[in-house]
Parts: sequence; C-alpha cells; structure tokens
Amino acid sequence: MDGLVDWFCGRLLFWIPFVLSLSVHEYAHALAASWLGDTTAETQGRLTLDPAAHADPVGTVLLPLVGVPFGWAKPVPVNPANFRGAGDGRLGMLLTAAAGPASNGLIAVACALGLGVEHLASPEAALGPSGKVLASTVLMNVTLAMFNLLPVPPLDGSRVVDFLCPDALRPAWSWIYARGGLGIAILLGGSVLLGVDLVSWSRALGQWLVNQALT
Amino acid sequence: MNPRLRTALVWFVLLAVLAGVVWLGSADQYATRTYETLATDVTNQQVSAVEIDGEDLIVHAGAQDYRVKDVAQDDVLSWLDENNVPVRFHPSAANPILAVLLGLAVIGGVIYFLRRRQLGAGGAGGGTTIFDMRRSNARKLTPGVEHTRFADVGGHAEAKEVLADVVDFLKNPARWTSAGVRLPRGVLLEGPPGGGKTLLARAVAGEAGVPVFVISASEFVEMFVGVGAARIRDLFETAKKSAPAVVFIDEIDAVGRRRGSGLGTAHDEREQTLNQLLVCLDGFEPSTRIVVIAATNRSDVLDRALLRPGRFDLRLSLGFPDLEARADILRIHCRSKRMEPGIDLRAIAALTPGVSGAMLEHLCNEAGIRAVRRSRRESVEAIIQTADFTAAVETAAKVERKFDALDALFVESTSQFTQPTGEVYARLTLTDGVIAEGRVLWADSGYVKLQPTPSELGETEGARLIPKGQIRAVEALPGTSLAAEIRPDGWALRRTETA
Repeated sequence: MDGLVDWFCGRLLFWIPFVLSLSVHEYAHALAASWLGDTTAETQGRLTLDPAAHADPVGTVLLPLVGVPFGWAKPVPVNPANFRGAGDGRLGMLLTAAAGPASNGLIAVACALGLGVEHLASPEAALGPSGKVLASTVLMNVTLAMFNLLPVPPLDGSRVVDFLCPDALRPAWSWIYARGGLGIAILLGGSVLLGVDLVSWSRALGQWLVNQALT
Repeated sequence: MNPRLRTALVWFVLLAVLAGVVWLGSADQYATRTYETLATDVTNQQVSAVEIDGEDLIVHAGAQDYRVKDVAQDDVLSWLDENNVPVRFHPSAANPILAVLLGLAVIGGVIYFLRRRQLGAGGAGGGTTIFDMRRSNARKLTPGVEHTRFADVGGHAEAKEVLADVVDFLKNPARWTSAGVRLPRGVLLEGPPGGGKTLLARAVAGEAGVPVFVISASEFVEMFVGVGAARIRDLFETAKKSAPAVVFIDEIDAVGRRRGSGLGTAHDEREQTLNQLLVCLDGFEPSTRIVVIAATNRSDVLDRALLRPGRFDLRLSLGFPDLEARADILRIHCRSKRMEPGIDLRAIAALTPGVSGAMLEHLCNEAGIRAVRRSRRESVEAIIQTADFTAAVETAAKVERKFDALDALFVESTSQFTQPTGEVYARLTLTDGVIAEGRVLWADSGYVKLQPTPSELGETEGARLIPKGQIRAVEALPGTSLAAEIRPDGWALRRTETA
C-alpha cells in the first residue's frame, strides 16, 4: 500500500504541472483568438485558465495519471472567419495556433529561471524534490511546445504548414489535412514501431535549459 | 461560483497539493549524499550501520546519518557485508493511514471535478452526456411569456367553463380546500387533430398565471430502458418545485397505451414509463397545486388505470366546432388582419362544415396571403375581401375532397369491389415503413392493386397487390381526380354473399 501511495504521489508531481501547462496552452489559443477578434472560444467558456474547462477525461486525466507519458486537452474552437482585418484568416489561424506552444515555451523559461534562483539560493535543494519538479516541468513544457509544432494534423504545427504551404502543393496538403487524426496516428504508431524517439531533441533542449539554470 | 474565483481556487488547490507532495518528499530527516561519500566512509571504517529503505540506503556514520539514493542493490550489499558493515531494514516511518487518506482525497477531487464538469456541460450548451438523459427537457413557459387566454379560444364553451374551475383552483386554492372539495389533478383533453387541445392547455396556464411545463409524451421514450421513467420523475420534481404549475403532456397515447398490447413481447420501456407516470399522478399531496393536462386523439387506446378517478378524472371531449364556434374562431384569427368592412364571417363559417379550428386558422391565413398577393399585383393595400375567403375555402376543399376520394376508395368500400373511373395516384405508407407510389388500378375489401410509378431510372415494375391491413397512411398525389369521378363498378354493387 505504501508503495502505491508513493507511486501515486510521484504521478501527481508530474500530473499537476501537466494539467496546469495544458490549461495555459489552451488558454493561450483562446486568448490569441479573442485578441484577433474571434469570440468562439470565449462564448464556449474556454477563455479561462480553469483546467476543468479544458480537461479531456481520457487525455488529461486518465492516461497521464496512470503513467502514460502522453496526453491532450480538448481543442479550443476557433472560427477564422471572425478574425479582424483582410485576408482569409490564415495568418490569424497561424498566430492563434502558435500562441499555444509559445506559452509552453514561456512556462519552460520561467520554470528554468525559478530553478536557477533556487540553485543560487541552495544548490542542495535544487537537487531535491522541488528542483526535480521544476526540472521536469521545464522538460515537459519544452516537449509540449516542440511536439505541438510537429507539422502533422491536428497538431498546432500543421497550421504553420497550412500558412506556408505553396499553392502548388495545396491539393496534396489538403488531402493530408482532411484526414485529421490519421496523421498523428501514423506518427505515433510509426515512432513506436520503429523505435524512434520523437521527443529526443526536445528533451535535449530541455536538458540544456535545465543545465543552464543549474550553472 | 464566480468563474474567475473558481479558476483561482482550482489553481490554488492543485498547487497546494503539489507543494504538499513536494514537501512530503523533501521532509526527510536524512541529508542526501552521493555514493562516493559512502564508499569513502566505508573505506575509512566510519560506518557503524546501514539500513535499507526501499531503493535507498540510510547510512549511520559518525557524526551525521545520511541517505544514499538508489543503491540498495545486491552487489553493493555484498560489498558492505565484506567490509563488516551491519545491514538491516529501516522501519517505515511514513504514516500509511495519512498517506492513503491523501491519495483518496486526490482521487475523489478529480472525480468530483470531472462529474461537475459533465453535469454542467449540458446546461452550458456543450455536448450532452449520459447524465442529461435523465432530464425531462420539458419546455417551461413562464407566466409573463404565455399570453394565451380563454378569449383566444373559439367555441368549446363547456370545456372553458370546466377549465375555469381549474384556473380558480390554481389561483385561490383556499376557497376550494375550505369547502372540502378535491379538485381534479388531471384533465384529459381528447378530440380530433386540430381541435384546439394544445391551445386550451396554454390558455389555462395563461389565465392562471403559473408556469407551464410542456412536453410531448414521445419525448419520454428513449433507446435506453429506464430513461423514460426517470424523465417523468424529473418532470414532476421540477414542476413541484415551481408549484403552482401546470404540466402539459401532449400526445399522451405515446406512453399511455394500454399495457400488454402490441404484438409479441410487451413493450417494457413504454410500460415502465407509464407505470412511473401513474405513480407520479398519485404522488401529489392533495394540497400540491399542480394540474396535469394531457391531450390525445386516441383516447380509445389509453390504459384504463390512467383514466380512473383520481388521475385523469376530468375528461373533456373537444369535437369539431359548430357554426357559432367556427364564426368565433374565424373572428379570433382575423383580429390582427385588415378586413374589408362588412365582411360576414358567419357566412364564411357556414361554408365550412366539419372543419377543425386549425383548418380555420389556415383558411384565415390563406385569405390573408391572397390579399397580399392581390395587393402586390394591383399595388393596393392588402385588405381581405370575402372573395379571398371563398377562394381559400375552395382550394382547401379541393384538397380535402381528394382525401375524401381516397377515403371512399380505401375505407368506405369495405365490401365492394371498386374501380376508379378517373385516375387515382396515391402514396401508400405501409406498416413496415415501405412507401409505395403509383396509380391505383382497383381496390376491394381486402386489397389495393397499385401500378407503381416508373422510377427515375426508367425501370417499370409490375403491378403490386397490397393488403389493406398493411397500409398505415394514404396520401393523394397530383393527378388524382375528384371524388365525383370515382364511382363503384356496376356489377360490384351486388352484396357479397355470406356463407
């Protein structure tokens, strides 16, 4: 029983920052969209940092809490047609999409700074549990940002491709884009089958950030 | 709760739990040292004893005890043994009960938030969840919104008189209870479609100035067993909360059908729903000011338990309006329309025997449409003239007569072989949902012979013989001749011999 509680507390150390990071991520999308003139997310109650508004029962609670290092929140609805200004709303969509990973980047830097301050104050404590939580939050947020920037629908990175895609390749891209979840299924399934670590470079980046903070 | 406050609270709780867990983790009386320290201390004979705590070793060495993480492995232990360091197990210091409680609290909190979220999602316009299904989803008409009054109901003088008592009971219950009179809880309005059942129910609510809960009985029954009963309970609970109130159940035959009827197996879900409805109708204390009004046009199939005194003990039959009532109804529907002065609505009412209130409303509208059409054509003001009414009546009658023609064919000719002399095109909906369209060749007491209309692909099917028992609905299609042109075949007029 004691081992189970320890295990559960260990999961919490991961899960709580994870849920809060996802909330900030989705809030950033909603905030960006509302700045640009689209209130779809706001009217659906998503312009909030409240984790309960963004939580997906499986992707935010169940999987991460039982120890699967993967998860998601409910996507924020955006209607590009409402964006202010000219154009077909693709630039707005790009900015809205980029806001999520950007917010995770900010959290990562903030936590790294916090870790650095803690290290300056007491190098011992920075190696203790609180330092571990900060370091894992840095890693988690770098990974969240990087993973979401993968150019695979429905990840945020696909919106960037959508914006940059030249007209000649658009039909092919639309074909991929329309398949939505298939892309990520192939990506995840393939990486598991081939043993490729998708997040190794983001882990490296996060580690670098942590090391910078600790020196 | 204020959403911002709620968000802040959620963040606070989560961060507090995080901090708590971190604190528990760091609340270690032993400082952490590296394996190298242990190695040096062992070589220098400083170590008095070593305790195993999970994966860690707690080292008792000279001045200070310390912990070495993740080294409790066989080779390390045997190396300690070689160096004559006593090894024992560290007694667990953690309070297991406290830890279990903490874990349970966290799990409970997560479940609570998820459930809250799911319950809230339905109301906030999000997706519906399984929990919403138990809601009755009755539309609530608040007193200020419902403007229908008895004056808006033409005819039905007798029914209005009785329902005025019900209204008075809702408004001044003291008068009735002090007289020791038990008032009807349920009013069953029965009558043909378009007879004004729904209108009367709304008028009761409008007159009494109480909230009305409107629901159609078919909305109770869902795919899942038990949902209908739960919805009935929910409906009555909500109504009780806002008593005095009127509950209006439209088309009650959808759940009120006699139990045990139907082919093959009994319809469990519907019967369960009906049982719950019966219980709920009984369930009021006599003082509860809730009146249930139900409407149906199939009172013949209703369960007898539903009709017994104490439940729907007041049965009002709303038939088709007579001449005076029709004139009244026309007057009511023409109130908001601009009419030619001197138009005689009573004369128009005389043109429409056996026509329902809904049809009269339709006629008024149709006359209005004709007036607007004329005003556009001749650029004059849209004022309804008598001619508009007569034209509207005629068009409607034509449609009606076409239905009559089919009725004559399918209903009246029960024993006679009938052959239409004019063309009759009909769309027959069969009991199994199949729709057959085509020209009727002939019909007799048992069968209709139909030549199907060629499909768009040009395939022609052979003529079909359809048993009348399988026909659920008949609809006239364009091309059908009028009733006058349908007559029974001469030889078929002979009575069928009975054996």
